[in-house]
Amino acid sequence: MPSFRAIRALLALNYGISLQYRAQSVLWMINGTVPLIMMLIWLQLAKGGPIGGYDATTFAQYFLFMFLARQSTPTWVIYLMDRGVKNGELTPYLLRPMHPVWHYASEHWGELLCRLPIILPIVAVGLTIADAWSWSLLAHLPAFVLGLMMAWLINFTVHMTVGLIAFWSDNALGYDTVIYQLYIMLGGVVVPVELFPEAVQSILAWTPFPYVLDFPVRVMIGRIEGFDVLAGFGIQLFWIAVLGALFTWGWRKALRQYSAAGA
Amino acid sequence: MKRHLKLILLFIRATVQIQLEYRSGVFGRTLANILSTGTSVMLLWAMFRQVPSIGGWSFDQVLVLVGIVTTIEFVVEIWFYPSLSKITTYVQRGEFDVLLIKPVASQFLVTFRHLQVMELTGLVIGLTVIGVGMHRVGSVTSFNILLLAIFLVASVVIIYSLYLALSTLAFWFTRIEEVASMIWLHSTAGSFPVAAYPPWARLLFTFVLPVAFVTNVPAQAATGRLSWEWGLGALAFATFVFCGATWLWNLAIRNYSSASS
Amino acid sequence: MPIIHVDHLCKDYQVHQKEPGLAGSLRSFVRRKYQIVPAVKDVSFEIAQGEIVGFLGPNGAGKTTTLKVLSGLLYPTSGRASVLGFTPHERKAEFLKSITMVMGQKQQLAWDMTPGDSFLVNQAIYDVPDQDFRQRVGELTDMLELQPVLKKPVRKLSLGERMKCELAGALLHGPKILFLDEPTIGLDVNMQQAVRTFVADYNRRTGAAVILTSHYMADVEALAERVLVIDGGRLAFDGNLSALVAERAPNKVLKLQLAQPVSPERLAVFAPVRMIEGLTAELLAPRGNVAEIAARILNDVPVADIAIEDMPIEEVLGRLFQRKPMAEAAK
Repeated sequence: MPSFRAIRALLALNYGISLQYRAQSVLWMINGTVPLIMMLIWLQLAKGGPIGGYDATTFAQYFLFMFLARQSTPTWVIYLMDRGVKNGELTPYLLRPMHPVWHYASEHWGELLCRLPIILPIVAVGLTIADAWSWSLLAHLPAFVLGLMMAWLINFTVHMTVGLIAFWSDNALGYDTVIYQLYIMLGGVVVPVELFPEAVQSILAWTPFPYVLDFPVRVMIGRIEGFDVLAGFGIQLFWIAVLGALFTWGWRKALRQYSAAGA
Repeated sequence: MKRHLKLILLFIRATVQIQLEYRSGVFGRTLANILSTGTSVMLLWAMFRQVPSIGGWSFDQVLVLVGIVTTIEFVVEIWFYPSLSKITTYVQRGEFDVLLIKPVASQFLVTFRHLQVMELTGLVIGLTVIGVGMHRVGSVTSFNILLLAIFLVASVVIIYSLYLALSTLAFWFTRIEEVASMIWLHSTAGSFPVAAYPPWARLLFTFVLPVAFVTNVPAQAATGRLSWEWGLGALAFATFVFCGATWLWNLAIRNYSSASS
Repeated sequence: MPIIHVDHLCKDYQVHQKEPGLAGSLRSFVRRKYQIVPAVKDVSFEIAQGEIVGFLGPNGAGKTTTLKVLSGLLYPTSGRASVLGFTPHERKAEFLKSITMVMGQKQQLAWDMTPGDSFLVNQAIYDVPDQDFRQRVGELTDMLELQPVLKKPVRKLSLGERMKCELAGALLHGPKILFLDEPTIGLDVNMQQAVRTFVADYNRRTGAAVILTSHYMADVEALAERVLVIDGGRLAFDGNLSALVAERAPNKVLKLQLAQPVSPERLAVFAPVRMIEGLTAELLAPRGNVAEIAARILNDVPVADIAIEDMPIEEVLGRLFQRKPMAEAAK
């Protein structure tokens, strides 16, 4: 575990780098607008009356916070790992007395700091246009933020673990899309998980996917309450532990492999 | 012309060789292809459980739309993405001169240099979904198939032109690698009938991010519901953006050559 | 007191083989063949505190591999390496804090930020106390004349300026061992000279051990008293540079400036002629009787000037390496 000071320094560096790539941030964001597009469609559909317990306001809230959740948890760490292995960019990181994970993580955090000031106003404007503000949102905010932080960790660890493929295979990037598709399909980005048939929902409950985006969003809009919120956090923690252990185990093997190929 | 065909074949051969190197990538991307279409179908299924129609389209009609999106995604993935997204890299690394001194039009080179025809999964899935959808709608006639083919070509031309134009911006703003990936938006927005969006978004999706022409028109053609206004509109739009993109490319090359001498 | 022990070190790589052509690609797609390529074979040596040691050898001889094993990037296949009492590949934080590695071909400074920004990050990563940090930055800035470039983004620096910043960044934590892998590659002659002078100075001031590989003989000649010649993965020579020349170059070069043209045949009587061009000629004289030959030449031939020199090291090494086929020395 590196010192707080080291993390802060890395964060400052990466924040600085991200600021210079502002244009790119904006484009990432455009690409992350899937929830907004889906919101438009669902809002049109909901004009005929509530669908599965979701009325227009709920849809607007769900997808706006889904947008926020997606935008706070993106990760391109598979890309970084793939590049690190292919070009040997990982080598200098390995020489430092700090796990390379911290470099990757801080790059993401630096970028997030640049991104949030653009994302938050979009969500605020969206809520205003859709007339979907409510005091209850404020009450749910702390749980939402906590859920998002855990979601970030799950997502990042999933990607890091899958990214280990880069050490054995020439092209791990394909799997980035696979995970992306799984999230879109199973994570609530296009259809709220609650609108899936019961059977599908109960299968999904066994995977980490609904706990990354759908769970915190539903907490935020008040569709998960009381004890279920705690249970959800518990499951998030469970996934972090499982995936973290898996990654730690794989990383050790990966370093040996990296070494076998010449570092 | 013959020389160009020969060149294209040589380029394909070279890329196939490179792709064979990256064998596990094939598996990952195939999986992604299947998942992506699966996602769309599952999403539709979940939506149609709740509503009878979306923007006036039935489930089967939207299914054809999904097949078309998959097919176009396939073309982007094996052709435009690998080729055109390299423009930014060329410019950033100053490798563009190498292309310019070749005795072949530079636009031709950047367009065909990296055609990755190895993975046909996307095409197979796309055409299958279109076929299933058309069959269920009951619109499988040779006339409709001909129309579908024509408008698919128009769609590919439109996507190509937009992609080229966006990548060409790299000559002026060297640090925008991701610009062209905006193109991927069409696959989400385009999976739905434009009529399903609120009116202001319909305008956006017709003229700015032209999913109306790119996905909706071919789907309407395949299901025998294409009006001649939309058909002509799509063809005109395709011609217009293609000429525009070529013009922009030539302008960029002229600027580049005079600036870097 | 040795700080690096290397004991029967071997390192193999796994390389996947590709046959040329489309058919070959297809074959290797279906069944990928791996080959074990030995990069370092049974190498043993010791390096003491404060030494400057040059690794010499042709491309792919195993120099960089040895360096990477010593810095903990590679696991040895067999044998042992111990550096400052640590086993490098365990990559203990304490170990990593006491070494540094500069790779001429790999950049470690953040491309879009200024070197100063990267220095601050290194300070934090290596836990360098503020006072030490300020002092070292000051010293390094002076020694490397970095003042004008510290506030420019790295991407705007010239190759030479960047390398100087890399060096400074790599030394901020006061490492006890410097691994330099091709530190002068691609630099112009002046800049190479500057880097050399700096490394020598740094070694003298801090007593840090320096282990460097270089293609440029001048680097090694200027810096390293002791050289390890690695060829085909094996340690071919370990000793000081002049001993290497004495051992591997039995001849000295007699350089003659002739007063009037002389035919090669007439000179060949004294010793084999290496080259003759107009009024300049070079003969190869065996070390033992070079003086006697020179005396005879001075007697018999109209010579304006005469000089006795060692064979250039490039040539000595070139001949040393030529004997072995390069194929077996694949990386």
